[in-house]
Amino acid sequence: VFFFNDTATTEIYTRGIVGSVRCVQETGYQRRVHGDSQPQKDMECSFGFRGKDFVILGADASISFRVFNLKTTEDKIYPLDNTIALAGAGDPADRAVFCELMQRNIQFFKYRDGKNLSTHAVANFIRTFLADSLRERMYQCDSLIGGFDQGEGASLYYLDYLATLQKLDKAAHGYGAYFVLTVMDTHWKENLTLEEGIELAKMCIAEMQKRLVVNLPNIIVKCIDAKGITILKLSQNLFHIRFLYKKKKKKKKK
Amino acid sequence: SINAEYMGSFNMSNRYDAAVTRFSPSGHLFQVDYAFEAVKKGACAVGIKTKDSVIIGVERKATPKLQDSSTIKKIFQIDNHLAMACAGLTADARVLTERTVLECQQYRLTYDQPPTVNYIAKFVAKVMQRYTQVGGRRPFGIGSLIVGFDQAKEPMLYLTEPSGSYSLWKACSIGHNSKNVTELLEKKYKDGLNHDEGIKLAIEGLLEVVESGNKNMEIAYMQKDEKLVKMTDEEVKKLVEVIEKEKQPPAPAPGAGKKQLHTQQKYCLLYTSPSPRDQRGSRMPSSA
Repeated sequence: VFFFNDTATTEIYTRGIVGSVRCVQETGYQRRVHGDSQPQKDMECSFGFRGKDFVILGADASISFRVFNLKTTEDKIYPLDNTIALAGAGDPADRAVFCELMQRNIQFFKYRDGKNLSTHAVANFIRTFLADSLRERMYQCDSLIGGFDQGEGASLYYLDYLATLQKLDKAAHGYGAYFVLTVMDTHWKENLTLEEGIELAKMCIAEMQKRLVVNLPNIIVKCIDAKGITILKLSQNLFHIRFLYKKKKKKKKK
Repeated sequence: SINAEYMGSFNMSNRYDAAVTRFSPSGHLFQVDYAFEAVKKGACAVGIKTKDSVIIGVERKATPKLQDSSTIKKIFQIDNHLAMACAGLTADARVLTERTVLECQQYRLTYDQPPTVNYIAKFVAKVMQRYTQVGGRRPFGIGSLIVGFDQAKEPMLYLTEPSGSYSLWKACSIGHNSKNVTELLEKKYKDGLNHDEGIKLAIEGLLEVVESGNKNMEIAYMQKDEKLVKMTDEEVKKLVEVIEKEKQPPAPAPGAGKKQLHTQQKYCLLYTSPSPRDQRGSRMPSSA
């Protein structure tokens, strides 16, 4: 058990409704006020780029705390809807809370209104939510929102932890972005096919794992297209993403 | 015109029906009782639980010519694996289903698992009960059927009433003329019905209430894959034809004059005049 004395104070306070939109609220234990802490978010890396009719999002699968590598099999790409996903990178608690909250809110709008939101609408909702909550607290979570709509096609949105939203072709967060962006700048082109996209993703991962001082043994890459969200198997050795395919064990009848 | 009921009703019950928060000497909460009456005015809804599926049928009331009837929803999908049909005041139904949708997602956020039918039925009942105890607000004028599958993959059908009670049913109907439908269900329902028999039974039940024709009913079902499927008008039409063939006696068709009487009688049954008490004061809000 680690005691956080210098970062978070666990004050629970009542949270007003964001704007005038009623949405799913955080549960009590998830509310947390950050003191004057430095953003501890840069160690987590994510990247994404847009292809012809797909978006590829990649995020590292590690959770680290100070000098410890706590977990290397964390899935940070959250599906918001059938064809929209959110890759979160940042403080692990904020990322989990923020991304889960966004999942539940997007699903809430889907069932309340009876129809799915477009990627543009989803990205803007998330941005508004982040911007409004900045007045009270900071979610230290950089996001990449990738989605596929029937008319619009594939779109990728870069969202900062300070609620900067931009629609981009290629984007990355974290220290790994320094390396990955150069690779993408060199090799990305308009109308990438899926094979080319996979090659580009492999190049990005190779560069990150070679040059970044932090060890990122596993990186989960997902492809979002008209069919939905699929996990890409980028190498022969699938041990690192085996957990994503874990089947539930059937209970043996006594 | 002098309404005998109004002039003659100087009994004690009238004094206690103004506020929700007052019991009458006989132990009634009159506002809640009147809420039940509002439910009885709404479009009929039928729910049937079969061996491996759950079926909801709703009466589609005749819409004005210029209205686009596709915008009127009676069967709401609350969550991936849950559905709800309400009978009574349309606006109340909309508000309550929205609140239930929010609760489903809040539950998922807290427990990271889908809510059970039981939990949602209890939640809806809890919300409705709150409005029977708090002053200054009226109860919800709706009864709802909540369907889904529980963790053991058994189909479940819950009924919630304006009083805030909820109960588990095998087959149930609410809304206008639901008594006839319930009688039919009690006669014809058997444990261990299969899915197709269940749908036929739902349509038969609705045919008791509705003018014959596929356009006047909406049927939806959920099977073990927990996906709500709405039957198309053609599918319903086929089954309606099959049922009507089975019903028809082999005797020759009646004369033209007799036919006219038959439809007139039906008209009288379906459109009851509002009770005198409702006529005084402001008009009742439109029913589902």
